[in-house]
Amino acid sequence: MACGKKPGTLGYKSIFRKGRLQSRQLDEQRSALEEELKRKGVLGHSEEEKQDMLLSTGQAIKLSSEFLAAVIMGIVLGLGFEQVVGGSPWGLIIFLFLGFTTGVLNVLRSVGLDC
Amino acid sequence: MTNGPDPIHQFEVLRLIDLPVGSWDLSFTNVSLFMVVTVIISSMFLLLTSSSRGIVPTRMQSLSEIAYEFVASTLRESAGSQGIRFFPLVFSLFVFVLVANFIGLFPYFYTVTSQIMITFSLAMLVILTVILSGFYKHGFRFFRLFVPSGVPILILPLVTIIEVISFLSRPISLSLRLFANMLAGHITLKVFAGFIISMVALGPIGVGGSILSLFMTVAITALEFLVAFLQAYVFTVLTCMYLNDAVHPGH
Repeated sequence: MACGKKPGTLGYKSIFRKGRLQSRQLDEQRSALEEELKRKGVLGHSEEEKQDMLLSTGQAIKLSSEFLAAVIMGIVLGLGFEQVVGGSPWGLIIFLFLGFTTGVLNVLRSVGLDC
Repeated sequence: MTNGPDPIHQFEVLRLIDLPVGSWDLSFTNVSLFMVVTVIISSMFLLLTSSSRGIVPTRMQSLSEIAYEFVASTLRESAGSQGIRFFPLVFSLFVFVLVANFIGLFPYFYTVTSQIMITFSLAMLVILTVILSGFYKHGFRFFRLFVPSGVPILILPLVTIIEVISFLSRPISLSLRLFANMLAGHITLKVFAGFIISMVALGPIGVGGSILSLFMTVAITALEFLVAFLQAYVFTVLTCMYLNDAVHPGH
């Protein structure tokens, strides 16, 4: 919220200079502030919030599936490597780390950070 | 809660017709039954609604036309005009997942997509199509998918291994996502529906709680319809993005 407009644009100063505040003006100010906050997403409807909470489960599943899939693939590749080449437990250890790295990369990619 | 309703019970696989073939168990289960129902409903709907071929479409015909246009534009956006060759596959996948998700929302019906083997098979179908058609079209240039450009030669092997693991993890994440969403949604629905009954036993306060969870169940049911469509759409979009790699390998 650091990038928001200065409070001066809402007209506090000019009103305070006049001295006494009219209640109508106050109401206008309040609704303007509310609108502004709602637009910036600070305030939200409670209904929308509930919906968001339920929908964000989908987001959580999306990210965790991206991460889990890579770790599972690392385990599978590590165990496969040990089956073919031998050298237990080093294949599992190395590929588990690689899978972890890939999982982080996958998560970063799916939230839209380009790397 | 030992005698309450069991939220996992709905995912039980029951053999309807025993079919042991050699050492394999090819029994016709309730999951198979609902897959057949899904295929029959979706193909009958598309066949019947598009059979009149009216220039001015009826309501039902425009519904299937919208589905067609929707998938076609999604595919064209992410895989280009060359990717339209894969349209039959993508459209079948979309319709199958969508109809299976919607059928699962009926009470006492089985949600086929909450079985990980089903979603994994669908994801493997997609990935194998990507690999095979990529090889067929581009030969060994398909491997350039795993070698990002502009990486120092020293860490290139490491990055390549990570890219390969990332590629191989795609079918798992694709299947996990659909499976987990449907499973979680249906378990939540059942748990809240179970609260309606079990909270009444707690007396007057429990009745208030059970009314609250009744409203919650209604809300979650509405949300599940959204999730059912959304997950089918996500599955389709990801399929299109992966097919894009088969059409245009190399970053």
